[in-house]
Formats: sequence, C-alpha cells, structure tokens
Amino acid sequence: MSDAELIQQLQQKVFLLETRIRHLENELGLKNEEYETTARNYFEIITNMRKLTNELEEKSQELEIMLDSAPRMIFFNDNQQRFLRVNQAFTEVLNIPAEKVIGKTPSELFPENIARVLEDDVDLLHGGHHVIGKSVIIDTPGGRKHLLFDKIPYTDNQGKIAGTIGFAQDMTEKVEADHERKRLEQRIARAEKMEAIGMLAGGVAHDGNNILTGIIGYMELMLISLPEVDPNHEFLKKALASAQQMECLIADLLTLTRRAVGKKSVVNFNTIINDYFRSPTFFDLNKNHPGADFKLELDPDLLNIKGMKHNLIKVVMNLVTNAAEALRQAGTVQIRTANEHLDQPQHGYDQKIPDGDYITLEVIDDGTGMSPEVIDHLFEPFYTKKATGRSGTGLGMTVVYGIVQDHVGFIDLQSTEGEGTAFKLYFPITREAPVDAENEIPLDQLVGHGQTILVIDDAEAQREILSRFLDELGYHVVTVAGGEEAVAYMEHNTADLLVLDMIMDPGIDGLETYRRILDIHPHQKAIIASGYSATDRVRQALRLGAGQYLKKPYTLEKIGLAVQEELARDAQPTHVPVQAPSSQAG
Amino acid sequence: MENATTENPAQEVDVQAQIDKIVEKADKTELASIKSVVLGVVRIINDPHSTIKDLKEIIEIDPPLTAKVLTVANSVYYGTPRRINAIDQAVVWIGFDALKEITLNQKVCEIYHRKTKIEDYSRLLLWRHSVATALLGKMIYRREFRQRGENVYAAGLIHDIGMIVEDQFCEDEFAEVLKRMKKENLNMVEVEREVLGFDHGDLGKAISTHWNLPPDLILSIGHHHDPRRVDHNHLRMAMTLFLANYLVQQAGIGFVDSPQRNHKIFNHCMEALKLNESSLNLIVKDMKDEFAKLEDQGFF
Repeated sequence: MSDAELIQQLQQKVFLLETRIRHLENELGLKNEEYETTARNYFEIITNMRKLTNELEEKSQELEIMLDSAPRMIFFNDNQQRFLRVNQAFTEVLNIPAEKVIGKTPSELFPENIARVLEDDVDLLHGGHHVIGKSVIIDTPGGRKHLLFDKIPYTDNQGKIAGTIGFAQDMTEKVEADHERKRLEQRIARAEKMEAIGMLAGGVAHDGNNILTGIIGYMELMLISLPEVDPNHEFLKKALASAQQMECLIADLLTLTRRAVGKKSVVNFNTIINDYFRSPTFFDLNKNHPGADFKLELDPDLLNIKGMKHNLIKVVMNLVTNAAEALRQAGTVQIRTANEHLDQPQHGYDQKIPDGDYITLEVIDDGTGMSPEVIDHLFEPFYTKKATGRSGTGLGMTVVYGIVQDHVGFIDLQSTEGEGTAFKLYFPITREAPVDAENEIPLDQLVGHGQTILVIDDAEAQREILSRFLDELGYHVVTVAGGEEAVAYMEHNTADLLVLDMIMDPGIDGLETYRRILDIHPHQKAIIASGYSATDRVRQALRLGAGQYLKKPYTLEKIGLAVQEELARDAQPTHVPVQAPSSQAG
Repeated sequence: MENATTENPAQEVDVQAQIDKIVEKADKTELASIKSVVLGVVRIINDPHSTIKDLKEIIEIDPPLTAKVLTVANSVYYGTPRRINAIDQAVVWIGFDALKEITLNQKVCEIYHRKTKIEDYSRLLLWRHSVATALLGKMIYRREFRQRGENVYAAGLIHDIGMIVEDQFCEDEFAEVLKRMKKENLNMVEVEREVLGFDHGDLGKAISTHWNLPPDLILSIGHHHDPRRVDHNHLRMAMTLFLANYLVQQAGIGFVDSPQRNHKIFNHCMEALKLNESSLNLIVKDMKDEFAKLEDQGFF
C-alpha cells in the first residue's frame, strides 16, 4: 500500500469517525429534547393526577360531610348484610363507634335483639323488594331505641344487587314524647276532676260545716242530759261518732279546696313528724293497731323546706294511717327522713323528678301491698281498696297528692302485693332562715311611749340587741351588766320595767336582784328572761310580781309584746314578802 | 403541484377520474380504518403544543390498538422495568416520541395483514420494506439534519399505500404489472404507467390528499420515485424518503419495486441534501441492526 493510499484510507477512517461523532451528537441532542418533553409530559400527568386526586378527595369529603351531617341514620350493607359504611347519626343514635359496626351483620351487632332486627334483608337482597317505614325496637348501648326504617337494594355496574342502603329515623324521643303527652293529658284530666270536686266540696264543706256544728253541739248536749243507762245513750254516742267522722271528711274537703291558699313558712319535717306522733290522732291510731310497730329514723341534720305545717302534718298522718291499715295484724311501719341530692332526673309516680336538693320522707310498711291497678288509681278521690268499714274519709291519699303538689314535691311509690309498700316523698329544700311565723305581730303595734326600761344582762350582745330594739320601739332604755349594778342604779333612779336575766355569774342572780329592788320600789314591774326552763327561782320571781317569763332564745316580737303587756298591766299588790332562800343555786 | 405524467392533458383528466374512483372505493374499505389514527398522530407530530393527553385520546378510543400498543410497550425491546398498564404510564417509561411511533406502526400494520401474494409481491414483504424505509428516513433526519423525523417516519410507513390499493382494487392489472416487471426486469412505476396509466405514487398522493395529510407527506409519498421537481419547501423530506426507499431496496429488505436503481436521481438528491454516501452507509448499518432487533421481537 502506498503512502498516498494509506493516507487516503486513514483520512476516510477519520471522516467516518467524525461522521459517527456527528451522528451521535445529533442523536444525543434529540434524545435530550425528547427526555425533556417526556419529563414535562410526566410532570403534567403527575400534576393532573394530583389535581384529579384532590378533586376526588374533595368530592369524597363532601360526600362524607353530607352523609355525616344528615340527621337520619344512613348505612350501607353488602350482600352478606355486613355494614360497609354508617354515618355519624347512626353511631350517635346507637352509641356504638363506627369501627365496631363495620364488617358486622345486624344480628351480630345486636345478638339479643335478633328477633327484632332487620332480617328482611334476605328478601331485600334476593327479591329486590324495598322496605319502607318499618318500625323496629332495638336495645342498644344508647338505650332502647324506636327506629323507623327504609331499606332499598343497590346494584353494581352489572345490574346485580350488591347490597342495601338503609335510612332510619330515631323515633325514640317522639315515642317518649307521645307517652309523656298521654301522661300529661291524664294529669290534666285528674287536675280538672280535682278542681270540680274542689268546687263542689267547697260549697258542701262550707255549709255542711255550719250545719254539722249544730248537729254535733245538740247531740253533745243530749249526751250530757241523757243518763248513761238510757238505751238511746249508746245510739246517740254512735250517731255522734258518725257525725264526727263527717266532720273529718269536711275538714279534708276544706284542705283540698283551700290547699293553695295558706302561707308557706320555713319548716322542718322532723318537727312535723314529731308533732304528729305526739298528737291524739296518733294515739288513737296506735290504740287501734296494737300490732303495729312504728319506727322513726329521722335525720338530725335534715334541711328545712318551705311549707304549710298544718297541711304537711296531714300528709304524715295519712301516710302513716294508710301504712298501719295495710298491715296484717302485726307489722312494721318505718318513717324515715333524709337529705337527698339527685344528680339527674328520676322517674317518680307520675312525673319526672328533676335533679336538685330534696328532703325525703319515706313511709314503708310490710303489709299487704298494692296491685298495679290500685297504684294507678291510688290518689283519686274516694278510691279505696279497703273492703269494709273504712276508717278514712276516702280523701286521705288525694289530700296527700294535692299537698305534695302544692309544695312542688314529688311522689315515688313502690309496692308489691304481699310484701308491702314504700312511699317516698321528695320536697325541695330551702336555705331561708326559719322565722316563727305563728307569733308574727306587726312592729307598729308594739310601740312604747318613752317609758324607762332597765335591761339587766351580763351578756353584752343581749344588752346591745335588746336596748336597740326597745329604743326603736320608742322606749327609754338603760342597761346594766349585773345585779349589784342594777340595785345601785335603782337606789337613785326609777324604771317603769325591768328586763331581768336570771343567771348572771359571778354576781347575784335575777331573783336576788329583783328582791333587793322590790325593797326599794315595792311595785316594781319586771320580766324574767332565761336560757333555762322555769326553775324554782324563776317561779319565786314570778310570785314576787314579775309579770312574764321568756325562754331564751326569744324573738324580738315576743319580748316587744311582753314589755307592752307588762306595762299595760295594772300594778297589783301581789308582793308578799317571802323569806330569802339560803342558797342561790339556779 | 407537479405531476410526473404530463404528456396529454385529456388523458390526464381521464387518469385523474380513474384515480378518484379508486380512492373513493378504497375509502369504503378497511383501508380507511387507519385514516383517523394516522391523521391524528401526524397532527400531534406537527403541533408543538400537543401532549400525551392528545395521543392518549387517539389510542384509547381504539381498544384493540390500546392493547397492541401496551403489548409493544411492555416488550423486551423497550426494557421497561415494570408492567405498563396504561398509556399514561407508557409515556413515562418509553417516551412520547416512541409512543407515537408504536401507535402508527400498530395501526398502519393492520392494512398489511391481508395475505395477498402475487409473484414476488406480498403485503408482508411490503410492510417490511415500509418499516425499514420509515426507520431509515427517520434516522437520516436525526443524524444528518438533527431533526426528529417523525413526519418522514409516518410517510415511510404509508409511502407504498398506493400499491396496496392496486392489489386490492386493480388486481388483474397489478398482477400483470408484477409479471412484466419480473419478466422484463423493469421498475414498477414504468410498468404501472403503461398498464394503468398511473403509478402507485400517484395513488398514494391522491389518498393522502383525500385524508387531509399535510403537504410534506402528500408530496413525499407522491414523488418518492423522483422528488427532483417537488417544490423547495418540501424538498428535504421528499428527497430523504426517496433515499431511504432506495437504500432499503439496495439493502434488500422487504419487497423491491425498483430493481433498476436510478443513480442519477440518487446522486442529485445526495448533492441537494449535501449528504455523503459513506455517512449514509453508517446509518444504514445502524438501521439494519435496529430492524433486526424488531424482527427478533416478533414485530412482523
């Protein structure tokens, strides 16, 4: 090969290599562009996909929100009846978290309700029938629920039934409201009945009472003038007893008709119960039921209520009487009081007892008990289950009901035939301070006319209160802190009245003080005030001429009244000098 | 636009009417079924703003085509690392351009399925020739002109569509053409003009015009046996297609319609495009490798 040929050959090779390089460069350049396009496309696709995904997510969120904000229960089941999706209303009404529902069938979810649970799905899934407006009761963790169902099958994209969509409405509240409405209607009917009876009774009672007073009065006169040996004596006694029973009936009728009229004051139920158990009415009851064992368990810290004492004592009387009469020959009647706080409303006899603070009165007997029928009518007037010779007026329980209502109280009642009855009454408590309402006298009737009164008391607070009060009433008040000081004062001064504390340690006591002052002013008027009950020394003081004895603590009205009465009393020479006793103990 | 046969205007009108009649017939057969896909892909190729979304729409409207495209995309040839189940995914792994190519291939090959065999001609051989021409045309564009050559690829795939129309609608005449070609060792176009009065280039031009393909393609297809008088704007593509057609036949791939190579036109084109024969030979060599790979994949 010549050099020229070799050179040409090499040149050709170089050319081909250069061409190759050029080709590859071009190819690479294009590939680069293509990769760029592809990458751009790729990112466009990704962006689009993201956008689509976001849109889908938004849509599905919208759907979720729609499902969950629907007030009706909505649920999807597959063709095996398993729950696929339930909305918020579903989980709220049934009080089961969704994760415990999903994947279960209705009968797995409510095994104890199988009979009541929607077994019609089979029909639905195979026959394609719709279930519309089916009413079902299910016991759920959220309580017993009345549900109204609609269920319809849904199909997949091949037209085959893939499962069911259900809608349900929680009718529980409506059903309960219906019951409540019926109850209210019954109450209104009862109240109307009571009102009618009340009007009638009012008329009867008013005139009847006057007539009866005449009858009883004359019968009593006849009884006095008729010798006991007279055969009519016994008849007359029985007639009188009947008339007296009539008197009780009229009294009950009057209680019913006038029941809301009375003024309420702060009272303690223990006092009322104690009053009853000390009354002649109870002694009679006890006598007639010798087998009855009355047990009192009164809460010493019982809070007060606002009420009418005279009416409340009738409540106690009627319940205790009823309990005693329910006993078979012998038995126990328990009477309990307690403070009770209700966290949440409770079912009572015929109404809900709202939450709050109450005092409760329980009267429990182990007697014959009552049937539900009797319990239903128990508080109606003249309804009785007692066979013959009923002792009451037929209005006892009606009176109880009415009085409890007047006190915004509530009745709860459990009774089992053959085992006994337990009444429990709830009365809302009061935090008001008690006042002795019985002796309330308007202050303007107690005003004095500048008379001088010497207050002798070793307690400064007592002196202070008393002097201010009497000052207010228009008296001239002088106070001293002890007997000796009082005697010293009276040697040079006069007073229209002494208000004398009985015990003033360590000095001379009230009696001795009075005695010494009487030596100076023989007709000195005085009132004795003491924390102790009437002792010998108090009685001696009274004999010496002290007009009144007031037991501490007294109300200001009481002392005002006593001062007024004592000042008005004619000074009389009751003063008979008595030998001073040797000791001062008191 | 020029026409290769310009001797007698009256005769020309006759011939044109005849061509139109054949095109009309062809339009009612399965040949026309590839029309919308080819046109769609070509539009995407020529629209710089088009995206994979446009291609996806074209492919997915044709479920058998979608399946075929995905099969090819999943073949070892592209070596994708995981199974591609959607056109969206395909573009990520094999690229937008490759996807356009596959789409065209898969759609156009549908019309080459018919088992027509006359003399040395068969549609399968013609398909091999077409794919090789398309491939080579594209490679010349890329390597020599640094252009993507997607249009010349599309043109390559359908440049002999006229021949298919002839074998289907002028069966006897076409058989005669093939017979005489072989006997007299002539190029097909010469015999066609004698027997039919037009050649398959004229038919291809008419069909591509009828399909509303861009002028680039119409002219390249119409003049792939002599692009010398194609107007300046479309010259590069027409000449490249001529060269590719020429070199593929020289390489002996597929059906050969021009046993008599026209060196004069070849040299003219080489000069006009400022190409060097040994450079082209390098490209032809790579094309053969590429073609062999396709063959290995059972592409034919």
